[in-house]
Amino acid sequence: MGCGASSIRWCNDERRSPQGEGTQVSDTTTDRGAVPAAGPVLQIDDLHVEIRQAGRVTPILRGVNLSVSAGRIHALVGESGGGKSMVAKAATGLLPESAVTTRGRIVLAGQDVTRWDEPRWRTLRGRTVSMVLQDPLTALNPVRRIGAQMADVLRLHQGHLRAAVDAENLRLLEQVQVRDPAQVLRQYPHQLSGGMRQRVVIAMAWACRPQLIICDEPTTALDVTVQKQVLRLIHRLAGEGQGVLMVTHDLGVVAKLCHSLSVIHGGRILESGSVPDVFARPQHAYTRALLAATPRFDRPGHTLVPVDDALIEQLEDEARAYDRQQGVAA
Amino acid sequence: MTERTDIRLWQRLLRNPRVVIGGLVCLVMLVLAVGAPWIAPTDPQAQDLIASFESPALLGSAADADPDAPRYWLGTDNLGRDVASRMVYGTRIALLVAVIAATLTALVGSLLGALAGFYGGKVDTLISRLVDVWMSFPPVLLAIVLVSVIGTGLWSVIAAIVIVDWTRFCRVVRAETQAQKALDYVTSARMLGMSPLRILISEIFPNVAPLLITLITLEMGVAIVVEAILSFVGLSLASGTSTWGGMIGEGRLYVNQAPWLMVLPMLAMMAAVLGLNALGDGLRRELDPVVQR
Repeated sequence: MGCGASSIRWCNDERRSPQGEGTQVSDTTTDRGAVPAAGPVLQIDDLHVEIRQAGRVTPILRGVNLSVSAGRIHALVGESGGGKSMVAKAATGLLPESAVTTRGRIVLAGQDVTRWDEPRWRTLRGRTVSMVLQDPLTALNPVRRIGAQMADVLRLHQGHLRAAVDAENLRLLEQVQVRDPAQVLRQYPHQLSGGMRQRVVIAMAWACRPQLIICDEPTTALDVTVQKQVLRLIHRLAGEGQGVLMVTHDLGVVAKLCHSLSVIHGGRILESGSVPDVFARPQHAYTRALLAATPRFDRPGHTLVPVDDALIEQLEDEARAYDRQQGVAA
Repeated sequence: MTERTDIRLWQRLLRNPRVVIGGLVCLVMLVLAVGAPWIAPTDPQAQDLIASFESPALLGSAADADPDAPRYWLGTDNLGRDVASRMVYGTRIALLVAVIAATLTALVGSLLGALAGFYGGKVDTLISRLVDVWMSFPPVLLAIVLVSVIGTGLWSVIAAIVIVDWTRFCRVVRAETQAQKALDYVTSARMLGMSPLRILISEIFPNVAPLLITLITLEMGVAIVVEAILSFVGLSLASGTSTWGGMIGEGRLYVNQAPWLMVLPMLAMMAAVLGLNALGDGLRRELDPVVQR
């Protein structure tokens, strides 16, 4: 894992910004790496998870290794169904009941949480680890006011009194740059725009200063202009020393925002490293294919290359071969 | 903002004809039930045997009678009891049964439904199979058997309605809870460290509540009908008490000489049930959080 590398090189807009949002982006990235890298807040070693349903066993994670350090943004990149969300769920104890962890371990903030039950997980969620979900429209309860929903988090974990909760809510909303926070606290989710809602969701996730925040495609459901603001916000908040695991399929986001990345496919990590290294010298054929399939507005004449079917087949064959080998071993 | 959204809801409700009509019917019932002693022209049990089978004065046929004699606007029955007074007091019983039975039914049914929908697994299997078995009994028969076993009376009728009808709430609330549970905001609440019970009460319940309010109004109509059925077969309150169902049952005997004895309470019951259904239907449209947006 290259996330410990102290020299984060890249601050070159031309190279870094495949989404072509121009020079305005620079302020979000210049101070990247200012926070010294500390020990990992999330460490996943050789994690194997399979779904057992109706007598059928389907492996979904095949030996995942991953580590997220404090103050760093680590990206988990891959196509749909590749196991990205499963890693996020495993790291928050939200795996479905049919999922069984057969091997490996998850260490969260120094605690081995691999086989924790629901009540123990509850002591960590919101406080040590929290998550920003993809769609801010559904991530907030439609029939409760923003203020009430935000207050729940604070009261639950910090035992704030009512007046203190209101003040803290205002402060949190100001921090995520919500205009007129007092008004927003009294509104319902459907009265806010998508970007505002996602800011509220982020404020709730950040409320108790968790050591690890998992962002599950936090910008996929947003407009491009709003995406940029939200990404900038995540970057600024991450600068305060929390580890962020950014689950995404948008390599543009990775290039702009993240320090390191892991490429996942078929439940296997194909490649990990610091963003500049991997972008400059992708080791795995799949990573190269993904990079080639990303739109580059900074390179006129660049044509999109879809990921080769033969490559996908080959990866799937490898995964099956791995399962057979594991089956023999087990 | 608080006031503004609330006013919007009220304005919307007042603009919906179903809600207005249903609400008016409920209001009239409520006034009649509460004010029965003052509104009813005479004591509902007072017999005036000389004036039995008096036809409704409203039709004008009794106008030729002695001006000092009491006027029976809706006529009298075989014992000379005033139909209008009996119907007013009958409203009281109908409303009482409707409100209590519907509330208790909702309580029992939605509690079990919420548990089944939220916890799933074995709890769900157990409750769902129970509902399936329960619903295989013919409901009216079940109610009649129940009341004949536990005895007659207001509370027996209410108990019978609850025992027969809780499955309706259970199924609907289970399905809705399941649907809500799959939404992201529940994952989000779990992610913030909330306990399942808390999620159920403070996150899911407010989303199921509009549906519940609608179901309760509909259930009130059902309760009125079931009470009338039980009264009709003589298994509700003692025959001295005025109930719509009892009046229909008694009026049936004299339907050839005095049809109003049966027709009037039937009309009252139809108006009440139609009104409640209209209200429930209107509320369902207006309170649905998805349609709102």
